[in-house]
Amino acid sequence: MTVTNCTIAANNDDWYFTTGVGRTDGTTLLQSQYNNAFFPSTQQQSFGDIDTSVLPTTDVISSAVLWFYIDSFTATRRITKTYRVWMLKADESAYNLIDSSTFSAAGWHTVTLTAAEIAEIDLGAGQKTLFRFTHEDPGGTNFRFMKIRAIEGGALDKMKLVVTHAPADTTFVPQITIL
Amino acid sequence: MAQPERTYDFEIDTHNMQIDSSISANNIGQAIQKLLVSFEEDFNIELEQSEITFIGDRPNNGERKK
Repeated sequence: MTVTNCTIAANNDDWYFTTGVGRTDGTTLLQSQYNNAFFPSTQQQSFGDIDTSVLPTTDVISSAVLWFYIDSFTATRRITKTYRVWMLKADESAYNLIDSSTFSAAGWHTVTLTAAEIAEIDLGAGQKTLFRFTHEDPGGTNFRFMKIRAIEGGALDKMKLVVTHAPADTTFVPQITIL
Repeated sequence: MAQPERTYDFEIDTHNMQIDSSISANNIGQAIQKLLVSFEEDFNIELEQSEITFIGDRPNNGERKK
């Protein structure tokens, strides 16, 4: 039995960030931003859809790793840069926090999904899995943002989900353990 | 042949604010350009060269442990 590894990248028009007043499509860099030091409080969160419809509902995913490329991050000096990655549950009832990090360098970063998080990947026709990038509200004077690359090609690289999966009707099926 | 991207670290002192910024770029010139564009587009701040201090550069990290 062959287990097919699958890399699914976000479509260019599946990226957007919000400013609280709507959304902007087709940006090349997505921002998670908080700033109340220089302007009136401004918050943004960015979203990236990954079209996971390529995975049949009958498939069993044994591993999944989210890759995203941090183009830059900025924060007030000596303030810990803490950013968070969320994943919308399959039933769209809530976001699950899948990573909280203090990034130390730009470039590719990965989040390995747990079995419980893998179970929330939307499978089947027409389904997408939505990831959200935020930061914690520091609750005081602060200034920070993170930019994630959104467009593939040239020097830009967009978020992708690398999964190992197998048809459920095979003799060997990777088992998912609920933690 | 373009150099592999690295992380370039800066300190910015502007408008009585002290800010750290890390940028992925092919070289320091590109990193500074991205820094200038970012501050102008995002915060309407036109940085001057005297407000920017280059701290150093280091490899981008390909993977990060949870």
